[in-house]
Amino acid sequence: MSILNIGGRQWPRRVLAIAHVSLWAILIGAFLCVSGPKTFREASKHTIHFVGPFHSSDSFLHFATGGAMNGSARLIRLFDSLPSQDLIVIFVRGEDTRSSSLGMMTAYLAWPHPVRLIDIAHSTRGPELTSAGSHSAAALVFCRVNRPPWFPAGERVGETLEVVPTAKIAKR
Amino acid sequence: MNFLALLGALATLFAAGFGTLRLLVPKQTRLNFAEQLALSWLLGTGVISLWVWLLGFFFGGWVLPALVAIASTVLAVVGWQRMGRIALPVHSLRRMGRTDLLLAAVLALEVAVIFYLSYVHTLGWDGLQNWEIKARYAYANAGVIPGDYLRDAGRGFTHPEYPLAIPFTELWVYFWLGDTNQFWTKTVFPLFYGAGVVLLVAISTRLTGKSWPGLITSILLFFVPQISTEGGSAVVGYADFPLSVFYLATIGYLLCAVGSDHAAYFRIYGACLTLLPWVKSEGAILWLVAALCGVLLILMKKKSARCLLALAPGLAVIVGWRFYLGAMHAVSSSDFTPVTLTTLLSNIHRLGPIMSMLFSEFTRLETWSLFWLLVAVAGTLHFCRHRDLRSVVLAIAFLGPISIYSFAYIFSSWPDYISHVGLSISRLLMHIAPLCCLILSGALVRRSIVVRIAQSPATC
Repeated sequence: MSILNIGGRQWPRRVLAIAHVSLWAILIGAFLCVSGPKTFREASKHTIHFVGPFHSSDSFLHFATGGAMNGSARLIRLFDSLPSQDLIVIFVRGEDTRSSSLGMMTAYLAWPHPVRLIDIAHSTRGPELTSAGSHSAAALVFCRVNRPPWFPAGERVGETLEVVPTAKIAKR
Repeated sequence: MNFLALLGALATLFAAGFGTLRLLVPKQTRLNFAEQLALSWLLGTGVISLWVWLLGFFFGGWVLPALVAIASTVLAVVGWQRMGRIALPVHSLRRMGRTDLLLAAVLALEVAVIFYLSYVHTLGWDGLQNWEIKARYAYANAGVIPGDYLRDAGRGFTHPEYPLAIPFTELWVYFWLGDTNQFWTKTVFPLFYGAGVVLLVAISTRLTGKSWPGLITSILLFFVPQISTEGGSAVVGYADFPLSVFYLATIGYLLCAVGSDHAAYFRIYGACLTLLPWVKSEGAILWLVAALCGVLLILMKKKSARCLLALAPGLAVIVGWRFYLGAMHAVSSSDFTPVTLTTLLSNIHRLGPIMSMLFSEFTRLETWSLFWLLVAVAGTLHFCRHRDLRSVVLAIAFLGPISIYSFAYIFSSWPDYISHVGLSISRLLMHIAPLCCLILSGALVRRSIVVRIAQSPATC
């Protein structure tokens, strides 16, 4: 009798309720199956690696320069030794993402110097390589770009970043 | 020592926000304790960053943070005195059933994991180059954004024109730490996540009459890779997730105001609306959409025209910031060309590929899982069941930003506009993701949506 009752007035409601719960259970279950493993994998992949006040920029420089340690502090120290109003010219290779990112990170650390990023792959900007060096620049920075052989060696940060103070070029 | 200083910074942010909240809402308003904390965080970051920016025109050095700290303490004391005994109800915890408590425990665990992930990951590229950079340079310049930075074309890639809510919250942490620190400043971001999920539960509970739908959808938010683990997520110092929390609060409290004459909700809507353009440039678009929703509510509910004043502070922030950038001759972004009819006509062919990219983003499992499928089903159910003002507001709040963002790519100045879309669309969709969780929570409940509040007079 009770079954009949359920089958009488109540069953459309109950069927709808079961359909509602089933729909959401399936959808949420599928959602969790797709993203759950990935989220847990990502969450357990790393551990806290405290590296001080330059936590993020040091990690980036370490990765992008091929192993520089304390790269941020070294670069800041270097830029601080130069007259603050003078330009820092940063040479990058536009088509190489790591090179341009390295250039931008150098610009971030070069404050309060004004900066100028030059893409050497840009054919029209080729002459700037020499002109920038001979004017008001305090230093030239080569980010995954080879220093011209007639320039003196500068300070290397990792394997792919080199800072050449223009005073050195003038002396030479 | 650093940890204590960090606690001091966070405490003052909460204090300023708490004071603002208590001054904003009518005295007799009862808000959930966790909800008050979440709103205090949002309002605190907004108020303190605005104060630091505005007072920075007149003061610098140690005087600037000292003045702001005194002001936030005074604000908190005034707010505390104004509320009397009623503003810290703990009864909501006692009312929760076992299932709700279990879900709340899972949610708390997820927030803890988000904190952990924030410390594990470095600041993302934009987190460092667009946001933290402003805090760092301002700190080096006695708390004021240097004019030379705003004008420096060489640093144009760091978007000097972006507003200061996030960087100046980080700057506030630096003031307390006594130095810049890329590690500790990351604490700010999981707090936005915590505030976001708490507000999602609070607003959903108010709209559905039950806690579990909000708790379930808040738990699900963690499993959206774009929110918790992907590049640009809530843990890497980007402004997109904080902006999405402000947008959730703005639209959420507006929805509460639709079903109730309670003045508090409309005022909270107004406060969060004000801060939208202060968080990120795209916040101006969200402000426009949310303001439109607010105007719609005012017209349909025949509220007093005085309520339109709620739009004024946000407009002042947008105009004030643009004026400031103009006066400082700030370098502006070169990502978009000026909006002209000629450009529109010559680039209109982009619309098809842009829509195609948008659709493929919705279906990208590695960043969104099945989140948008759930939202689509929930939206369909919701709009079939409810054809009222609240549904209209939700539809505008959901479709408005998507449409405007998609339309904006027509004016992209990137040589390859497709890569521009590909690079940024996932982060732009984040802005509406928590709001979509609200639609989802409404659809989880079979019965009609109800609003369970109405104690205070019908004013704005």
